[in-house]
Amino acid sequence: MAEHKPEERALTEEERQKYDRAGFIGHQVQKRILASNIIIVNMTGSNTELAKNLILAGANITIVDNQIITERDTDTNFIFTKQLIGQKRGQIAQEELKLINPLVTIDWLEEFPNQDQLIRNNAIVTSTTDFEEMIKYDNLSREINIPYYNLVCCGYYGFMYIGLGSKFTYEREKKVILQIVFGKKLQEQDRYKEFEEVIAHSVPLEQTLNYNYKPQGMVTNIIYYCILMMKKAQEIPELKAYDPYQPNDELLDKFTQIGQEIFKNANGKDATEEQTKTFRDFARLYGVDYCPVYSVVGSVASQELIISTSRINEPALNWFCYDSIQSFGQVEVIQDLSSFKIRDLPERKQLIPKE
Amino acid sequence: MNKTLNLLYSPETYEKIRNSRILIIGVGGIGCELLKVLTNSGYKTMTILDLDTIEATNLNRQFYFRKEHVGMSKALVGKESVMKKHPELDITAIHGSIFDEKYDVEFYTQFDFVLCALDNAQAREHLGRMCLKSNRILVDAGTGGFSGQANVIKRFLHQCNNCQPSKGAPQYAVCTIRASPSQPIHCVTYAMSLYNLLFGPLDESNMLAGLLDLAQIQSCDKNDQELLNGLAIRTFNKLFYDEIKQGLKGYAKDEEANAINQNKYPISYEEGLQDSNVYTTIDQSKMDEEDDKIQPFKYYVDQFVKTFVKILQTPGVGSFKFDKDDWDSVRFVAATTNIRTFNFTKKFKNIDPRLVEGDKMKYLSVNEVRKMGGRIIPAIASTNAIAAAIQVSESKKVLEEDWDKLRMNWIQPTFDKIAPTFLPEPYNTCNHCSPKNVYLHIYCNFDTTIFGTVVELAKSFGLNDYDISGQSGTVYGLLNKQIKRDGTNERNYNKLLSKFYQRESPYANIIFSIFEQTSGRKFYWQIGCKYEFILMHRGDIKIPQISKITKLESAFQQLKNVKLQKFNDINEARMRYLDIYSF
Repeated sequence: MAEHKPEERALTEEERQKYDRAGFIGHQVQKRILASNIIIVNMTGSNTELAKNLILAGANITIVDNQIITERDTDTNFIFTKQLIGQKRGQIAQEELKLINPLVTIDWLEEFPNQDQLIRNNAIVTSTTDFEEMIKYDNLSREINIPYYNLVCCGYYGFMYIGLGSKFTYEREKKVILQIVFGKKLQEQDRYKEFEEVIAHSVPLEQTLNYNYKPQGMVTNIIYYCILMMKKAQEIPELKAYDPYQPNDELLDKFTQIGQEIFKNANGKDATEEQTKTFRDFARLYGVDYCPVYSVVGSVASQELIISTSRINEPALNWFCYDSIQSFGQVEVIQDLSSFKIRDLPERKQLIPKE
Repeated sequence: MNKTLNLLYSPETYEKIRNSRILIIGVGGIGCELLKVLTNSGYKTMTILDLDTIEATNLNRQFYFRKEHVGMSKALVGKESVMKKHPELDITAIHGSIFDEKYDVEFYTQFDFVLCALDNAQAREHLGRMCLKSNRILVDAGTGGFSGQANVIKRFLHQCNNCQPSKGAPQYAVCTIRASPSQPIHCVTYAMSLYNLLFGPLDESNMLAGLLDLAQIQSCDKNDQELLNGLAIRTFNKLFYDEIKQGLKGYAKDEEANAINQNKYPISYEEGLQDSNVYTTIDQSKMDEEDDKIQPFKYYVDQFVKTFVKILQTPGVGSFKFDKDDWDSVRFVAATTNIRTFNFTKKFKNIDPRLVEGDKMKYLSVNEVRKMGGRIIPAIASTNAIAAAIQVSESKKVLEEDWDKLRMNWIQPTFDKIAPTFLPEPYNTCNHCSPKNVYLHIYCNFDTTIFGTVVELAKSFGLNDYDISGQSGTVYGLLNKQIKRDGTNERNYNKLLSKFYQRESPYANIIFSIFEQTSGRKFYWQIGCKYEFILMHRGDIKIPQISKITKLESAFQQLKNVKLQKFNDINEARMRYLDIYSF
């Protein structure tokens, strides 16, 4: 299917004043956000945070949610409170978010839209813990060529899957290499801002789960292994049906064992005690919302959605992993980015005025 | 019964979180997000403090505030919005400034820890000092654009906000602004000062004071359009032609053409309107925002007069101050900036007059002037949400006393979205948080205790040979010969503490400091300690006492650690007195 082209809309006077402090993202990005529409499925904690940040930036959203507000929603979600138990989750979210920014359009559907309606949107966001469902949405996203994000909060940990569709064209600033001659920069040289166009694509989700991958980074990204652990564990029915609100030590031991095996297979050595504890806690709290963590996952997602909606700047791929105890959050790029076609944009060349 | 929080927290941690009392300074971008996270993570008792009111530009990120709240107090509206969702919470809202006397050291001791959501360095430094004096852990964060950081400051363990003092806002010399600008920022500063001079209250500290006859401008008939127009043009010619041509060759007689800087170009209103040059070498054909472009020079000449007249006709003129959100003031300042730039930009008459090669001066678009002069901090909701969330995650580690897990968290727009580094250690030379600073809380009755008690207490600690300083300088000179001679010592000795300073809150804390460090050969051992006696008023106490309750066991520990091997007996006497006098 043809790629979705971003549209633009000029700002009204009121919008100019309201979005003034966010002017650093650039005029063109702001105009594209105002004309965008993003589908958000199921108002979990991370998706609520994402929705709030998107509408505060000026984007329009469509909420797809047919669930009723339960105690689990009111425990840590900042929009749903105890008085609202029993009401329709999507409807309450629509009303509350409308108060936060009356200038954007917020729709509410109880069923996932059909393909004709889908292609008018800039992105699909879900918050499912089920890998089969993730794969289903990921295949749909590559079929209709619309970016797909999945946000999950697991207690003290969180992660996000990013799929950009089968063709995703964006532009970015070229990294300029300054000429250095005998140790001195050539000061008199005119410096230019140059732009290039990148035609990216996402590989299927299963290909981003690499059981031999060694994450690079300052801190070992144990969360990536946790994601692999959950995917493998969901092949066993009793582990797939695990409910965090009914803790079961025996099942948790099985989860931890799977995690340890994956770690050993990839790294050749055993996981430390602390890392083993992380495997266990990840499984124990899989899908449990916690405000300090879903806020981070939802906010990082909103920044990525701004980039992928406006097609300006480098979007992240493929997984974002966050660990609030070790205090790190990093993007793990699994697929090979060097296969993307890059095209120069000479007409956008700009002279950087000398200071 | 919150099932989720019971799953996440151990019973001890949940108990600590439920019972903790926290202070949040600042209810702006990060403050609103903090309220959201704290109230949904189990915290129940908090005090929020802010001196600001809500503005329209806040609404893109401070989501507890609505359009109808513009103009109201941030702290009070924040409390109202949160209580609507969680009526069972205990929130105290204070609309005030942390620099106020009544938020003294004792005020901070009622909280378990302090969360900082401020936006300027001065307030951060003050807050840092108060937390050191009251021994409260400070969880700090700051953001700008897509970047930010969050960290915890525990006294004597981590670097405080005062270890590296900030430089403050850049100050420019008056002569640079008035006579010899060489950078765009000088012209912007000139333009802002001019705005404040013309349309603001009388201010002797304004850099351009005396430049214009303001009486004529302020007392004219505001309804007479022609009169105002004429006044604007006359002001233009005075500032950009008459003032500039002083001492210039070609404009003054030969013997008077003695200006040091001859590279000045006077321009009159009539001449300016003829100049259609666009003074820039940047290709502006692809830009679609007019305010991002450099306009033909005559546009700025015309704008100066138009905005001058419009502002004079605005009700309330005479009390205005440059406001980056008031577009009339922004356009006036942008016009003035560019005309001023024209006056001082070297031109090569034979070559293209647009070239400003070799110059730092350049013409600025309206948006550039606004950014430079208004010092706008770019802000968006998502970065603030991440910073606040990290602050709360770190707070949990503080409550569990997990000091090894604390990190400096860097928030970045690269693929390393949140990167941890180890927290830096305190500077050895810091006057506030190096372990050589001893803070003692002393309870006494201000109405019955005289200052002499402080002197005797200091002497009992072996501090006989040092001066005692108060908030405005030396108050008791044991060493200072001048003070010894003129009788200040005796006068202050007998003063009652409640009448020691003329203050609005006479019973707020008083702080006296003693620096155990002198120059000269007389005292050959220099410890470099600072003792701060923080006096707190207690109506029911008869004998002054040093407080142990405010977790100052560290004061004992510090005094033990200061190695005075040669003066062991002084050290032991100090420990004994500390023990006798505290409770």
